[in-house]
Amino acid sequence: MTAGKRKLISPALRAAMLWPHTWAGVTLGGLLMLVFFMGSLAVFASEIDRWMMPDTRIGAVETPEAAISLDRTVVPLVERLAAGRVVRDWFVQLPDERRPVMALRVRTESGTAGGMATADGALLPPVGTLGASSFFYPLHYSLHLRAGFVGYWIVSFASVAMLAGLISGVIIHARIFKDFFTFRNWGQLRRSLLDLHNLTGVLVLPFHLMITFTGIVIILPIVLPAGVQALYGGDIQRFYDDALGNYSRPRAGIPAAAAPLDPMVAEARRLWGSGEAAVIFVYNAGDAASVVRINRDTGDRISLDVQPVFFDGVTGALLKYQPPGPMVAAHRVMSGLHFAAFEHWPLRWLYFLFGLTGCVLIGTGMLHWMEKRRVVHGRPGVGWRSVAALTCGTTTGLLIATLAMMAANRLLPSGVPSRELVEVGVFFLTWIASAVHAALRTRLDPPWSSQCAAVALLAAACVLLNWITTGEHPVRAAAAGDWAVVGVDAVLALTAAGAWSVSRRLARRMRPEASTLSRLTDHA
Amino acid sequence: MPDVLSFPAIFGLCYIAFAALALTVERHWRDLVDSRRPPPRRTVLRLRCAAALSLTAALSAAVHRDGAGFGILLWVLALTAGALAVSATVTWRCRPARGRTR
Repeated sequence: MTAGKRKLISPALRAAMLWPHTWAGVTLGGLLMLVFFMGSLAVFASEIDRWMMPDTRIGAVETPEAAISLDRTVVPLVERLAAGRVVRDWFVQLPDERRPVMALRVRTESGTAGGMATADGALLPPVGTLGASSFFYPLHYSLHLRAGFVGYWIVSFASVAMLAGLISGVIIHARIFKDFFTFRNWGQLRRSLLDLHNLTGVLVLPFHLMITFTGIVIILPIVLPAGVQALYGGDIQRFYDDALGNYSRPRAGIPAAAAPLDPMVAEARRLWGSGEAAVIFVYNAGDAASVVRINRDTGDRISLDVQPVFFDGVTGALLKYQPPGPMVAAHRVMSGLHFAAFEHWPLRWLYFLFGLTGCVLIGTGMLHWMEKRRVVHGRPGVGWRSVAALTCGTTTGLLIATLAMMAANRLLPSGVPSRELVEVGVFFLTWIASAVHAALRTRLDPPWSSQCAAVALLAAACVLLNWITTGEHPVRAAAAGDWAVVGVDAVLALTAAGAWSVSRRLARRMRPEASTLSRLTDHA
Repeated sequence: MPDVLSFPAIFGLCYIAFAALALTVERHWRDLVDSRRPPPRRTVLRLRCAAALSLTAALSAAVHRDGAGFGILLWVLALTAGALAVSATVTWRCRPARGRTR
């Protein structure tokens, strides 16, 4: 370290940085843990969906070979889903590499209907679950609090705190280069925790900065609404229409026959030059003002620009195809960096693992605070016990809730009314129960050992239940090329093994061990 | 280079680069190589050159494999993965030595 650097970061600056770093970590650590953990799961949302919806797995349906005809296959499905009611709008997500079935959603004059269908046009029975893409993933960015964008605000506030924590952490870290690569997992627990905290904070810093920053950028129009307020009177939909090159027009009220869709897809592909159609929307179906929108698949690029092409639904004429401006293009690239929607398996695994190192970073920070307080204050007080319970409830408690939901997904019979909501209920009740258990049992330490044992048992139960209820054990899945199920089962098995060994070690020592806890989070 | 091997190659080059850099850190040099002396200046220089070369090679392999956008992203993330693997190795190599001296 040079002399100039030493002057740049004075002890006073370091001390000034330390208290917001500590306070942000202790108060928002639990929330950030949820955001990072669910975000990591969201990387493999499609794979977890396949695991939770056995009817849509590779082994259950034929993989589509030829391109699907919208007019011959999809339009009849829409009519079947509408069941005689007048269709207003509908959209279809065509099958892709990670989802061998198509997903449809139809809005009729009286309510909506949705479903999955195979590529040859057979409607599948209702999946009966929200799965990872409609439960874990929205939990990551909105906490399922959509009214007034409250959840978005909370998450983006926590993200700004995370960004501040990352940067203040680098300033606080006194021996950043001398301690590079250092993790002493022997000796004092407090030192090991701080080593691991620094190590994940420094080495994974590029990823953490990128993911936190791009995460805020995605919802920037929501959390910084001044521009939208001034130019669009607060109508965020109209802003997005303009910015993203969307097109909409009101219903004419005059019925009209629809033009065939397949030539529109062919025309869209010609306009794109390369790439495939991913989603097709039909607005104002059966009306003279009908609009067809075709989105491009973004699997082959970082940018999330779906290059929508709009056609007149009656004449089939091109209505709008507008490349985004430079600001929007930059925003789409940053969103794409965050979403990782591209077809790139090494990157997908790295995103997953580094997301989990975010959990390690936050968890070790909270554990270090707990250990330090214990040394300074001796007997733990109410504040210490609440942070300890919070830490336990958001690490092992969150794992238990997630695994309990996956186990419930395999256990609940398909006939249960509102099956998907029962699963969500299982998730939240289990989470509350494990948090209460953590709060009640925290005396000198949170109940790490028993909660780890619960994680291990639940994860092992998930693998076994999947085998029993679907007959698809990892070996058969691998033989069938169903890598989604192999992957989910493998990670579950690793979690079970890791959590079990941690639990045994803790039970022998009766003291929480930092390195083992981090290993547990790694395996999650 | 076949496509299957290029990802391990990128990761391996990053690992080698950070292993060289780890040896230029005085603490790790003393733990792993010579506990009496800090690393000589010329060795540090050579290690740093080797690290820079490996990192450049990894970047070019990544860009060659995936194109500029994905290549640079993959390289940045592989850097972190390589550095984490090196620190795991350092921990693993140091632990028995510390155990004996204590």
